Amino acid sequence: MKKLKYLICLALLWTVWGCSEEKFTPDQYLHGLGGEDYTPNEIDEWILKNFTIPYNMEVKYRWDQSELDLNKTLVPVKEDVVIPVMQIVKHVWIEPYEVLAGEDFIRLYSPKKYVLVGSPMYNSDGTIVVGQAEGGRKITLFRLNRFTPTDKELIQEIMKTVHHEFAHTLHQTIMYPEEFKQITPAGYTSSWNNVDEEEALVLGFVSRYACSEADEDFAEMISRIAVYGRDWWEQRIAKAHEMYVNAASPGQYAYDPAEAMRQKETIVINYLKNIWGIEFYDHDGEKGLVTMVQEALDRVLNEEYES
Amino acid sequence: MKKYIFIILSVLLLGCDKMEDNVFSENPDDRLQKTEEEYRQTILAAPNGWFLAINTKKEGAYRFWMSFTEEGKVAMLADMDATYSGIGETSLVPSGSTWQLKALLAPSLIFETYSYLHLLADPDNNIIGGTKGEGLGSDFEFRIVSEDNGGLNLKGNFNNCLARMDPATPEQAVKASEGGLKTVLEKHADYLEAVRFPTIEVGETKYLVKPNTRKTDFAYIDKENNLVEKTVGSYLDFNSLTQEAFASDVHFFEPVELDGMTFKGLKWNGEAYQVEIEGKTYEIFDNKVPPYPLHFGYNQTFSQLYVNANTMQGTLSDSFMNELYTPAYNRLGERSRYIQEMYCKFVMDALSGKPVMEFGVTYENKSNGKTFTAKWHYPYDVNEDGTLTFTDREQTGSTNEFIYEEYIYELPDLFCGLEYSNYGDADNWSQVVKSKIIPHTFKVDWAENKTPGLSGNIGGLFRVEREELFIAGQLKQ
Repeated sequence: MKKLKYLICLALLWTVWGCSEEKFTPDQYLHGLGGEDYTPNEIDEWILKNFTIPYNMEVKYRWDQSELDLNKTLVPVKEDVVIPVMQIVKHVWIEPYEVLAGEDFIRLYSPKKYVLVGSPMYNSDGTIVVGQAEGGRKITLFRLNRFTPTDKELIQEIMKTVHHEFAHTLHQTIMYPEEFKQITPAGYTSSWNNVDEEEALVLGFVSRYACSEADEDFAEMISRIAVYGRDWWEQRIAKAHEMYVNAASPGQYAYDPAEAMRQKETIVINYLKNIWGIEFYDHDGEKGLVTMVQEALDRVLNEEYES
Repeated sequence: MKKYIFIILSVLLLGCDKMEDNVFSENPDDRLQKTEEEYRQTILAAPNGWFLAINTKKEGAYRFWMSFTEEGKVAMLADMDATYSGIGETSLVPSGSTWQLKALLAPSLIFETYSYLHLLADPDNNIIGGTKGEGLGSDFEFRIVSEDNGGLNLKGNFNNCLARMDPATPEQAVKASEGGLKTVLEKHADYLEAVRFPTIEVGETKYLVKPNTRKTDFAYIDKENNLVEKTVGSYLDFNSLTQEAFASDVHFFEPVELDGMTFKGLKWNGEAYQVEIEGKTYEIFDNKVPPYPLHFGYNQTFSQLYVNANTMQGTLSDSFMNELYTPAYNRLGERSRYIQEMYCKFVMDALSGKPVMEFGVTYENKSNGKTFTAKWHYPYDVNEDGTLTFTDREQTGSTNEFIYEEYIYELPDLFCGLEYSNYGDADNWSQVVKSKIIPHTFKVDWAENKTPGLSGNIGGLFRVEREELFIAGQLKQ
């Protein structure tokens, strides 16, 4: 038995001695690690100077399928629209927020990655996606190859997407009050694409897409009012009220859509002010978000910015 | 005791050193980098640029001439303007993209920003066409599959489209810069116009081998009498431009297996295309009509035949035009009704439960713009030799037909003539008494397409006792 104990000791010793030291070489070359390897061109340098250095944001205009839905046919963006589009994004989205909420606001809360895509993304139901946000980290803009610097409608579409997706980032960081969801709860539907603009309006929604769910409704409120302006919003409310008053039969609408829209508006104003310290409308002689976005849009369209 | 020995042995085994045993001498990352660098050098080492041909899912081959720079830029011309208008002169005005070689699942060549190449893949079908949400089913990100004969074989990472890159010669580069990508396709149209049904004969079987501009069609009748059809994406090289040949060689993206034979491509020998099959060379000749029998009749491959006499000049025979069509057209024209179209259609007759041939003449009443189609039904017998005998003819009952038959009688009489004993006294068709029935026998066959610009399958009904008297038209299923 003693012999056996010695034998065990010997075996253990041998085992320990037999262990070889792992040679871990952290400097071993790993292909592709550390990012892509390309010669930066003038676009890359512009992005570095205007987005990456000041805001730690990446703007991906070079094709990278892994950033996108792997089952969808999409095409890359045209090189000559990259700088004009991102310049507009800077003037119409970043700058107003910087003025109203301080320089660090965008650095703190902005998505860190913009992915630019040339074509729209087609859904199987025939609708198209023009913008997408992923958990506040990444914003994908589609359909950019249609961009022209004087096309107000398209620029508003793009900026509506940017503001919309950023509004998601805000409420995903700190949620808006639960009451918002209770204003027009029956109007939310997954088949929003079958609802037309007028039907959406008479139900108390800022747009048809707002009918899809409360989060979208909230993001649509901020982005649409900011990008189309307060006058446009007031006209919509007036129209909604008119439709309610002139209903074919007295009980046609369960509630006054204008009233519902006002309630949503109040929540948006208070949310931005109380949570983020941002005035939505002009206040005490100071310009609010909506006015600043509108002015930036005008200047973009009149080419008042230096390129 | 045994238990302890077991423990000791286990401990000993645990102490074994795990040796890494690589199959290759270098680690994967080093090998990947090396391969990528080799491909990069290959791509950059073509002083006259590259031809890239891609086989789109929906429309076959598109061809590009590309020049890559070390700074990651690529300029290209493309042949799309040969097919699409409204997208600019893609074969003359260059478009640019950035390019990169990346280690994805395999070393991949990526065209990173929008260029002509991306037009094909654009899901917006207003750009170039194809299906909404899919475009033509194309690629702009390719894995490099292999290298041969100085060129690269590629496969798309998204749609798996095959693509081939070949370095251009100085002469080819000059032609390409002058719009050659488009002109080579335009020139090929002359071949397709001259040789309507390119055919080879192997043994006793004829095979259609038709090199269209972006794909090549094959067709033949197999031993079970079925029509077998195949299509392969194919592209033309620059021989018709650089060597002043009538036609360019045709390259297939992949070999085609047909009836136990393998087709790899077509070569122009100065007079005709030739194809090599198992060491033997076969010349492609014009068969004038498809090299397989026509199945036209009730429940056959084709059951309808449409004739527009205005657009089919040359294909319709003089006898048909002079003896039948023109007199009928003129007489009806005097009553301000103008023949637009005629057709022969094999349909089931509900009353008799037997198939009949329906002959229709569509004419427009110019005074009110209304069109009307007069129809006759012909019962028929199928003879032993496959010919058809139209044994009788019935009007289908309308007043309009009853009134106007006498002005265009040559046309319905072609298939089966009728004489009436009381046509002038009758008020409608049911009162008419046939005094004589003159049946005619017809052969079903392809008709030669002699009309420039007319496309489709052309077939005809040929009257057996007078073969030059036939009606020919575009066949439909």
